[in-house]
Amino acid sequence: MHRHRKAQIAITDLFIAIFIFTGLIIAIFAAWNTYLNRLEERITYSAMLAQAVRISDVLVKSQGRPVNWEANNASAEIIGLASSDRNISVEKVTAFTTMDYNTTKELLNIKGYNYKLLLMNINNSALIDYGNNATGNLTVAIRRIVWYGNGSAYMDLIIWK
Amino acid sequence: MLKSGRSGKSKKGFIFSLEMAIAVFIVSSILLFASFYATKQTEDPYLRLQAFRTAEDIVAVLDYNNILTTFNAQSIQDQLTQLLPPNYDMKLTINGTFSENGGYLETNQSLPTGTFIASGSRIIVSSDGNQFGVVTYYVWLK
Repeated sequence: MHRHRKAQIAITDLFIAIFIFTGLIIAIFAAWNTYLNRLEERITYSAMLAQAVRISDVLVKSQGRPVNWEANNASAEIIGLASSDRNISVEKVTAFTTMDYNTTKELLNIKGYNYKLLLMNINNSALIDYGNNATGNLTVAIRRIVWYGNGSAYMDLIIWK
Repeated sequence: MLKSGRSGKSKKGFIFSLEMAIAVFIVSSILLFASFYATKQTEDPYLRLQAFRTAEDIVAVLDYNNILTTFNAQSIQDQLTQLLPPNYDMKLTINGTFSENGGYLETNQSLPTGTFIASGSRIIVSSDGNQFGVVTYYVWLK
């Protein structure tokens, strides 16, 4: 009788241990999975942000190649919108907006993502709105402050996936 | 004999409790460290770079605007406030050949302590070419 009760206690103990252990394993896997997803998202976000920084830098600092590519869009090898550092050329922007979206993506070396380029005056009214609106679930936006025409302006580059 | 057996059992129980407490302490410490580093990793590494680029952009625009070569601290401050995104703060100093204040001016923000400050400089020349100066800019996240 005494032995029997001892065995019962041992079984209960075992079930409690199994329950706790299973709960712990589930919790660890859930946490692991969450962190893995976050890390993956973080890596994609960082890659997109690095690309946005690089592209915005080229756009606001470089004239492009050839330097007068705006005279003939088809000759453009690299798109740059500046006539000098942070001084955006109205002619280059006009030429850029007449180009095919996929061609600009290729020239800006945007692979696997979509983008939108906005040029606004400092009161936030749009001067130029080019590209596709963000409909994805991961979006990065970078704002540059530039000189455009006769005044200061914001250039927003939005990259999304 | 019976007494000794009970005492033995009690000691065993104590050892198990102590072992469990040590295990819980070690596991909790590891989890705490792991969550601390995981949280630290989520800080955006591009925020500082972006702050610096914003400051560079603003100084370039103020230069195109010919505001910097007015060598007037109040005008510079007003333009700066207009252009600066709300999450940043910025201070400018100019050392130059202009006569006011012994060739030195600064905007009115004071540099914060205990936070990351990015800084850089740009050389400016007045449109008539007679005056020049070095603008040093400091930017930080609010």
